[in-house]
Amino acid sequence: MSRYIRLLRIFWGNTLATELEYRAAFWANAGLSLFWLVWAALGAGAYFRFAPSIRGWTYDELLVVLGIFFAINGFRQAVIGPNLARMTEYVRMGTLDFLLTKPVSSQFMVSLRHVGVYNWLDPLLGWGLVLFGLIRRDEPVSWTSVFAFALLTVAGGLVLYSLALAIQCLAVWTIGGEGLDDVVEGIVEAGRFPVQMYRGIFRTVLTFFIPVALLTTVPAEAILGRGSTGVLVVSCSIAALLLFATSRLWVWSLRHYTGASA
Amino acid sequence: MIAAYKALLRAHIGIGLAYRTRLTVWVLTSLFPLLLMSVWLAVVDEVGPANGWDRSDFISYYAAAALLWHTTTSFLIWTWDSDFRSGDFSFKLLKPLDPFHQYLTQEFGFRAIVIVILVPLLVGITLLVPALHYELDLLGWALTVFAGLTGFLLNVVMAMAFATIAFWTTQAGNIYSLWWGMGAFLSGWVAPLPLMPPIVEATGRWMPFRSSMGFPLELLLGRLDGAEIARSFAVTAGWIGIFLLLYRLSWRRGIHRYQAVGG
Amino acid sequence: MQEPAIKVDELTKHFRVHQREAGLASGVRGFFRRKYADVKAVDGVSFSIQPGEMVGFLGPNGAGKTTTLKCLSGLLHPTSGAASVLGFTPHLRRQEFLRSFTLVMGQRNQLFWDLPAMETFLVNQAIYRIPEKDFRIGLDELVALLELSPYLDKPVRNLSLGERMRAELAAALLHRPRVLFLDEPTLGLDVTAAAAVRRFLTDYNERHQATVLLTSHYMTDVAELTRRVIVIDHGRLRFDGNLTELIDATTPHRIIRITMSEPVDPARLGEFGDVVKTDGVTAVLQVRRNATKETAARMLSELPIEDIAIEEPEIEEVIRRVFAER
Repeated sequence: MSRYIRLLRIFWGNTLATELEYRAAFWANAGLSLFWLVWAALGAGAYFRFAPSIRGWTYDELLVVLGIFFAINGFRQAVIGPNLARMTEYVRMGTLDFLLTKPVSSQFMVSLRHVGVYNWLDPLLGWGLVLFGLIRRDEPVSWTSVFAFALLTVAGGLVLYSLALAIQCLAVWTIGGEGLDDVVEGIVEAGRFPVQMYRGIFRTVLTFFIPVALLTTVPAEAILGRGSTGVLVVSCSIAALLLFATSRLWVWSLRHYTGASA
Repeated sequence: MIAAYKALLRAHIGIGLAYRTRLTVWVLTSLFPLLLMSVWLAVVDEVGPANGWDRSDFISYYAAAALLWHTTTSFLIWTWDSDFRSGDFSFKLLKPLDPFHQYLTQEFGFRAIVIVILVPLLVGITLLVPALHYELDLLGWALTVFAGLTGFLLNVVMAMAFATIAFWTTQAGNIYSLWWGMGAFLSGWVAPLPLMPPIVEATGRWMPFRSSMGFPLELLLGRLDGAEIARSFAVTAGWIGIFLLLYRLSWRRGIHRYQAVGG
Repeated sequence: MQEPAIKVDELTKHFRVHQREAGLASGVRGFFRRKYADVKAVDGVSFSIQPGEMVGFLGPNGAGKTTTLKCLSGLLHPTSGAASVLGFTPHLRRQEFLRSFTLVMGQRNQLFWDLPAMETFLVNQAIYRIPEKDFRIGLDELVALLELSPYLDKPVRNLSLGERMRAELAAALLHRPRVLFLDEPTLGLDVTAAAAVRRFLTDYNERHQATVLLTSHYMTDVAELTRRVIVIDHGRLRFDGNLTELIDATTPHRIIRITMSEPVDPARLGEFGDVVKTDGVTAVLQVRRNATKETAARMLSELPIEDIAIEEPEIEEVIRRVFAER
């Protein structure tokens, strides 16, 4: 374990040092993060010009969801996106073989090797927005809800990680798995709004098949005091189960890996 | 010149087709505007039509927005940035054809595939979903298509002008996203411009972003009169001119600084 | 004397680079305060090359070879000095100029990665405006010389390095350039593939009287392809002349390789010259250049010689000496 932490320090440190080379880009990105946040908050306001609450969610409560969305989206852009993008490259250029010969867990190498630094501000801004939404809403928040919220946020992160890993498996099979990171982006994007705001088939799919609800809606409900122990237990179990299942799936799909080019 | 365009288009369509997964994914991501639509429908459910826009208006608006998003958004800046970093830009410079044309054909090539796939799909959906209504005459359709095309051209030229920033900073993508992000507000993407606060709406009508999104969409829904149509086309043309000029100026100054990195 | 095909006059190219040491801490420091340094990649280089000449361009990594080639290709604007290729000023990037030369970089390629090489050829035909008839003739010739026909319809990504390089050469030469800049054209190729590329280049040069300026780390390339070499280091010209002159000037010895009918004591061999290596029956000796003939004769009469060969030293060795001198 400590070896992996050391490896992460080296890998991520290198990336960080490289990216710091591009100064203008770095500041532009920090500005961009803030900008997107304000954009999203104001954009959501457009809907509430016409209705005080939509499907049981007020504007302030929606801001909480948006904040969580930002935090998890930052995680996606920092860890999940870069690794998925490289995976496509590995498969396309046939360099996955090199990776598999390294004496470390291949799952670690394909899912955590790279990191993007541009969205470092996103989680902070996101949690800031959560706080802002809660203050505007002006209702007491209990410590148990904060605790449940923290737990569910971690669970949400793990669910997303598992989904991404499942998609990595897909990339092993489909040569030229270009754009698979867009799939993850699409999934997370759907978490921008609480699932209750979607209708019919969308809502069913997003709740049950792709557990987007776990990413943003469920943690938001917890901190707004609408959660329950049952939901907490089920959510955490789903996260653990998904993590286990996808890492088995990864091992399994490697066994069926035939080498990309040639 | 025409031969070069034909050959390059052919090659880029070929490249696009080599990525079948990417294409599938693209079609899937067209669902995103439908999520925005879904929220609007929830609003209509709660309080009835918003500013006179009812369910069928929103469905028609966002279904077409999905198509426009895929056909008019330019990814040129990202290609340019990665060419700059990898050194492939050098190969484009070595060819006796201005890189402008090489990038333009690349954009057209990818777009062509998307159109071939999405248009029949959308026509099918239009016929199947009763809520979709586009009551337009032939002229209206022609104008809409033309508006989409000029909007696309504006997006490409705009991206090209921004891309030349890479001569100074080796990376232009981020600055462009900032600009483009601002545009998402003013283009009619987040919400149809008529439903935005008046100040946003007024600004949007003069900015280059609406040309490829809100303008063709409102045209399609038959919500624009002759004068407004003419004015919108004039805005598009004006911006194309401005960005072309900026591109040329910036290119001429920037090319001296090119460092031909990467081998 | 004809007008030279390539003329370089006091060519200088400086880069302004941001200096950075390894490590995250210095990365962060550099983020706030930047140190810049002017690197003189090319520093006042002059030479000229006649039409039809094949010239080797040598120097250690970072000597400025690639930068010079990029200046000559019009990719880089020189900081000062002048370059002219076929009478054109490269960085003005005139259409006629771009159509009359080619730049091949061994470590990169211009082929469309996901399409068969043929697609790139067709695009180049259109871009370089090659008439259909010339295109067919040229293509047939290149395909035959480079033995490309089995690979034309395979996506480039599925080709081996050697196959890809051959396809790359075909793509780069379809428009029949009169000047070729080749930057490490045999990089990473195996012996057979590299030999095929060399054979092809000699042939192309003879057929079309093309001017070739070539950099390579493989001295076989240089020795087989070129007679004249230009050596640069730290952006400055160190030598310009015949390869043999370079060898004479830098290595005062030759190599004698012998095989004997019975083992001979190394100490005995040592009387003739420096023994580089021996296993008793065969031996490699270094002898003073001007004493080569006399030594060889003495060996023939005094040792049980079965076979004897006199060789020039390895060219790598020569180059090492050129740069060790300073």
